[in-house]
Amino acid sequence: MSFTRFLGGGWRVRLLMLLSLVGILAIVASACGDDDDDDDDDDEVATEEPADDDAAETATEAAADDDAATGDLVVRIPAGDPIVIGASVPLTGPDAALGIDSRDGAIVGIEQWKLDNEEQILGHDIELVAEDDGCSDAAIATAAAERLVDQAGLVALVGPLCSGGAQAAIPIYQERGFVMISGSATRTDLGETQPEPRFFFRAVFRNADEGIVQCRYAIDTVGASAAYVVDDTEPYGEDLANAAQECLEGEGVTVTREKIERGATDFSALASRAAADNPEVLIFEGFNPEGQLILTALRAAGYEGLFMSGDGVASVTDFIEPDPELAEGAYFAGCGGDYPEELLALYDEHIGNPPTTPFVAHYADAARILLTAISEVAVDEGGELVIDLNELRDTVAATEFETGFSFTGTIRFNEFGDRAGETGEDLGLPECLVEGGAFVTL
Amino acid sequence: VVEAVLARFRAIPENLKTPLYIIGTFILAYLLIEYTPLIDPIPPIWQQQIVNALSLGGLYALIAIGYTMVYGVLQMINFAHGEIFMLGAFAGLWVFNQTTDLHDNAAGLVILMAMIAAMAWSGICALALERIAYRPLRRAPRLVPLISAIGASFFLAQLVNVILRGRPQPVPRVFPEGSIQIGDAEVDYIRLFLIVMSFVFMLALFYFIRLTRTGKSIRAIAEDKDVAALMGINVDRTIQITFLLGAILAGAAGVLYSLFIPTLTGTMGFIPGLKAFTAAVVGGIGNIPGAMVGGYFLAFAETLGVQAAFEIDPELGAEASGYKDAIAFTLLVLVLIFRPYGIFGEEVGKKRA
Repeated sequence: MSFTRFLGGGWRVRLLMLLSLVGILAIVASACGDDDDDDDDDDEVATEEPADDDAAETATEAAADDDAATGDLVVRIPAGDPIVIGASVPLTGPDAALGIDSRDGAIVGIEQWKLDNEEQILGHDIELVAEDDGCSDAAIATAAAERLVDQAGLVALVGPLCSGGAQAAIPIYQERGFVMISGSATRTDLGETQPEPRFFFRAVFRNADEGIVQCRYAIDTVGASAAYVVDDTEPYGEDLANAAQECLEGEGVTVTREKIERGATDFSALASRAAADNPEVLIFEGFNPEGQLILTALRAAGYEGLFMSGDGVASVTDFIEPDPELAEGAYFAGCGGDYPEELLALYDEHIGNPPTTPFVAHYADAARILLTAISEVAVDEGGELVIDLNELRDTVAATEFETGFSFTGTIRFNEFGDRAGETGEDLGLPECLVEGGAFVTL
Repeated sequence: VVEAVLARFRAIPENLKTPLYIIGTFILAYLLIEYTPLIDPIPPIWQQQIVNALSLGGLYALIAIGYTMVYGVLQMINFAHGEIFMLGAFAGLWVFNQTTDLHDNAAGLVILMAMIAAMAWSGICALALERIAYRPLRRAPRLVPLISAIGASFFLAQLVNVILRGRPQPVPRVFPEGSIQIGDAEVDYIRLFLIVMSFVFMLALFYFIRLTRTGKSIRAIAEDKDVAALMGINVDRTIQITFLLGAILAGAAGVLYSLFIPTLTGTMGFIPGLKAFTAAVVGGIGNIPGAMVGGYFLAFAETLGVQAAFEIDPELGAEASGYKDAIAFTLLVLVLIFRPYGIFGEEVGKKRA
C-alpha cells in the first residue's frame, strides 16, 4: 500500500497506535532490563501474586508491632484434653489429592511415633486437626491459619503445604509462636524471607537444592562442559533453572538458557538449536506434557546428550508411558513416591488405599519431629500440660533426625529453618534414572 | 519464443495461476538451494529453522482456513475449531491403535485410513456443533454465538480430558523414520510429508472454492447472504458445507500433527487454535489465501524471531525464547496497524464497505 493512502486513511489514529505500541515496547524493554540487572529479585517478584505479597506484608507488620513471638508464649492443656497437632493442607480443589495424602502422611507419622515411644505424652492424647488452606490461595491460607491458631490445645503444625499459602500464613502462626514444619513447600526463598524469630521449618528440600543436585550430577557424573537449561517461565521452573544455571556456571560450564511457555507443543526450534550445539546435558525445569514433548522433539532433531529434569516431570503416566523407549536413560532429581515398606504398612493399616503423591514421607517425618520435641519440652503441672513455645522452637531447630529413623534421610535444619545438606540423601531428594520403563533410584 | 511463452501463460485462466505461482516458487526455491551457492551463506541452523517454520506454518494454515471460511460466511469466530482439530487427531489415533499389525508393512495405508477417519470424524463433529451450538443462534446478536463457541470449546476439551482421565495419550510411531538432506538442513520424512500435504490440501480447497458450484455458492454467501438466498442458494446447506470443509482440513491437520507430536491431550487444540485464529486475522479474516499466508507468517515470525535474538546475543536469546509469542504478536500488531484488514483483507474490506 502507498504512503498517500496511509496519510489519507485516518493517519492520526494509526500514528497514535504506532506511538503507543512503541511506548509499550519501551516499557517492556525497560522491565526486561531491570530483570537482567537484578537476578536475585527475580524469584521473589516472579513467584507471587500481588495479593499474596500484600497479605504477607500486612501480617509481617502486625507481628513486628506486637513483637509477641519473642515474649513468653505458653500453651496450657487442661487434664484430659488432647495435644493438637495442626495440619495446613488443601483438602478441596485441584490440589486436594496432594493435601489429603500429606495429611495422612502426618497421621502415619504420629502412629509411627506412638509405636516407637508411647500412646500419650504425659497422660494426654495426641490428635491431628487439619484445615483446608487452599494451597496457593493467600486468602484461604490466612483464614485457615486464623482458625487453627484459635484451636484449643494446638501446640504446633505441619504445613502449610504450598509455598504461596505458606508465605501468607507464616506470620500469623509466627506471631502466636506456633512451630510449622512443611513437608512440601519448596520455594527457595521461603525460609530466608520469613519474619524473625523463625518458626517455619522445612523437612523438604528447596527448589534450589533440586537444581544444585542436578548440577552436581551433570558435573560429577556426566562431566559436562556445556549445558542447556530450559524452564517453562513459571515460578517453579524458573526457581529451579536459576539455581541449576548459577551452579553450573560457577563450575565453568557453558550454559545456554532457554524458556518455553506452558501449553506450547511444538519445540522443534529449541530442539534444532540444542541438536546443533549438542551439549552433554539438557535440563528441563517444568511439568508435563511439555517435558515429554521436549524430549521427543530433542531426539527427533538428533540431540544425543542426557535429558535431565526434576520432580515436576518425574511421572510414570505422563513421562514414561507415552513412549517408554524414548524415556529410557533420562535423569531425575526428586522422583518421589518410592516409600519405605514400614511406612506403607502403617499407611495401609490407618488410611487404606496407598498414597499416590510424593510428600507423604516428608510429612510423616515432620509430625515425628514435632512430637519428639514436644515430649522433651512438655511439663506436667498437676495434670495440666505446659509447653513453652519458644523452647519448643529451639528444640525443633536443634533436631537431629538420623537416617534409619527418618523416612527421608538425615534431617537437620539450618539457620533459616531450611533442611540442611548438600547431597540428595541429606535433603530427602532421591535421584533416579529411567530404566526398563520405571524410575530406578540411584 | 519468449513472446509465445508469455502469450500462452496469459491464456491460462486466472484460477490456475495462483497455484502455478506457488508450485513455481517451490521449484525455483529447490533449484536455488540445490544448484546455486545462494543458500551456502545461510548457516545450517537457520536452514533448519526455516524447515521447522514451514512445517509449523503448514499446520497453522490448515487450521486457520477453517476459522476464516466460517467467518467468511457467518461473520462468526468458531472458537471451538481448535477442538475440532483435536478430535480429528484422536480419530487418527484410534485408527493407529486399531491397526497395530499393519504399521510395519503398510504404513502408507494406515496413515491414509487415519486421515480419512480423522476428516470424517472432524466433519461429523463440526456438523453436530453447527446444528447444536450455532444454528439456533443464527438470528441472535453477534456476541451470542461467540459465547456459545467459547463454551463449546471448553466443553469438548474438558469432555475428552474427563474421558481420558487427564492422561496424555501416546501416539504409536507409524511413519517411517529417516530424513533427507536439503541444503544443510536435515528434513525428516514426517516433516517433509507435513509440508507437502498441507500444500496439497490447501490447493485442493482452493480449486474446490474456485471451480465448483458449491464453491461458488460459498463465495456468494460470503459476499451477501440475503442476496444469495434470493438467488436460490440454500444458505443453511452451504453454511453446513463450509463448516464441513474447514473441519475436514482441521482433521487432516490433526493427523499430521499427531505424526510428529506424539502425545495427545484434550486441551491440545487450544494453543494451535489460538495461533491459527491469529493467523487468519493477520491474513485478512474471511480470505482463504490470506489464512494460508498468515499461518506461514506467524510460524516464521515466532521461529525465526527467537533464532535472530540468539544470533545477536545468547542472553538476549534466553530472554527472547520466553517471549516467543510476544515477538510474533508484536509483528502481527505492526502488520495490522498498516493493514487493518490483514495482509489480503483489503478487497474483502472494500467490497463490504
